Amino acid sequence: MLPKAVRPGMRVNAVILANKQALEMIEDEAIEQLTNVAMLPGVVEPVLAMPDAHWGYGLPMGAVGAFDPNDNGIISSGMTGFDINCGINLISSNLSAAAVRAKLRELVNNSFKAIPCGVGSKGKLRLNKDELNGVLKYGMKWAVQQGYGVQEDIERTEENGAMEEADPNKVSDLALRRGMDQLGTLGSGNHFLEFQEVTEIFDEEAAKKWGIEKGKVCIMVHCGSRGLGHQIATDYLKIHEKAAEKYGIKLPDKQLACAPINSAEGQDYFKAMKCAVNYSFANRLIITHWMRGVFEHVFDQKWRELGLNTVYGLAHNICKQEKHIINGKEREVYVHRKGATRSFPDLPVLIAGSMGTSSWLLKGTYEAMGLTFGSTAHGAGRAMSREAAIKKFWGNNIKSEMEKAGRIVRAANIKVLAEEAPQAYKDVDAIIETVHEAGVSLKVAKLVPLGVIKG
Amino acid sequence: MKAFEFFDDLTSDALFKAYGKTYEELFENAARALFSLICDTSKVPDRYSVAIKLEGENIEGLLYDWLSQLLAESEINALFFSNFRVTINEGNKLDAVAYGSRASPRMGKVQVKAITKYKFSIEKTDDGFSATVSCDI
Repeated sequence: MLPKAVRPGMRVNAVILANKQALEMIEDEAIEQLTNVAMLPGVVEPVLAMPDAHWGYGLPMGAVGAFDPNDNGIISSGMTGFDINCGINLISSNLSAAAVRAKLRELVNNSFKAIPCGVGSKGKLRLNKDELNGVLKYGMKWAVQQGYGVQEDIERTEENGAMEEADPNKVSDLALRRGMDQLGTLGSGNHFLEFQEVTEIFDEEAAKKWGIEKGKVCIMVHCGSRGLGHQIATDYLKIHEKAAEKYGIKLPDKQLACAPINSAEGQDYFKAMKCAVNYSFANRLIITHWMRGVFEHVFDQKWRELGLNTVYGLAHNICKQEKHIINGKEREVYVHRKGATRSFPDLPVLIAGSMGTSSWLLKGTYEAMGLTFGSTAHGAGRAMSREAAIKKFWGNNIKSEMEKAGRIVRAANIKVLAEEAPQAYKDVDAIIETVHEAGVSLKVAKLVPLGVIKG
Repeated sequence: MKAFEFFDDLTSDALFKAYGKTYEELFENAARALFSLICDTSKVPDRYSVAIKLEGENIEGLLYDWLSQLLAESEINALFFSNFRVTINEGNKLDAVAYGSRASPRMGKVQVKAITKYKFSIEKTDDGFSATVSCDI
């Protein structure tokens, strides 16, 4: 714990959820950023860093900050981040790893063709303004109405795949134009689509309930709200910089640009952010729908017969209005999770590894409600810069190393494989052990990649 | 004078410095640096152009808006840019044209999500100006 006495101006304590190994991997600058957040108005104790935390813009990636609207609390576009509702969908199957390995190259190649990915790729959908408004207001519900996915997908997604009171009128024309042609695209960087083998089960009951079986294969989709979300974040950073000045909020770092929750600038952002959240939920469902099509074609069976059901879908860059028990009293707070995943009791938690390393299905806990505003880690977190990774690794070598290990990878650009080399990331398994030991989410199943599609 | 250079400063992202004898040259070189991250600019001929007019609060704000607008225009028009002509009037009014060709993953490198305010600045140098820009990837 970092008591508020460590730095003048801190209103609350900060907590770093890490064992010795994880703590050593968190930069001093990230810890300083955490103390910056503890200085903002209306902050609720504690400000938290998850074990995968690393330096970010304003708030570290892998951090949680909650604010009370009844105590002049703020909402911050900077603290939510540029990739609003970057998140994960996990889809189960009844296919064995052996059956998928036998068709792996065909699956990877067909998926690569079916899902537009990489910078410069063209989306397959061209939305008009009314359709885009539908996506922004209704998220996955819009997608299901259009024939992408089914009702069960909605029921197995955080917020049922759409945050209420999203208002496209609060989204700039530039952001809307960026959103028109990008629905159903993966993007690039650390976003991916993977076929993963369930190699270990730690909680039989939860795994059975969620349709996960050892030796079977899952599909994981990791992406966000694309250019629309990036533009909303960019637009509101400027608005919140001015709002902070207008409302006399002293910013320890201008990247923490924010506005009072109970202000026009605060609520406008919340309504615009929800549009990006809904766009991203729809985006991942449309990709899921197309992936079902790929599997139907390759295995010549209907997706229902292949058991391609959504296990869960969730966000790890988001701000949510939630009720939490604080000092024995229920309070409504705005929880910013930037590179952090919701961990509510008995609900699935998804944590992505880096390319070529394991990802995890966990279970949310009551302990998380008491310790972390119902939050846990989100991924491995980078340990090496992209520049350093490119200097150190060759994309083709990474590809052949992965193929030697029985994994097939396709990327829009081979250089991305060097940037995203598994060695450039922290050890996700160590992060999982930390959150499991801390009780803020419990291990259910380990998922190891067989096939990887990178943007 | 170098047009731009990258620094290994950010674990997850990219930071560059661009240089120019004038603000116009600085803005053009900053845009070149940005698109050298996004695509292989040597393979992007000047086939299409997009005109951009902006008014900023000051010269730093204008540079931030210029680079952010280029990211948006690149996606909206499905273009990669490689060449830029910039005119700045009255210290905060930009009149520019970005030239490029159809975007394609074959020429693509990595998506830049946004220009950030981390270390974002323009400084006067002995022979002109330098700008520090960090990009969220």
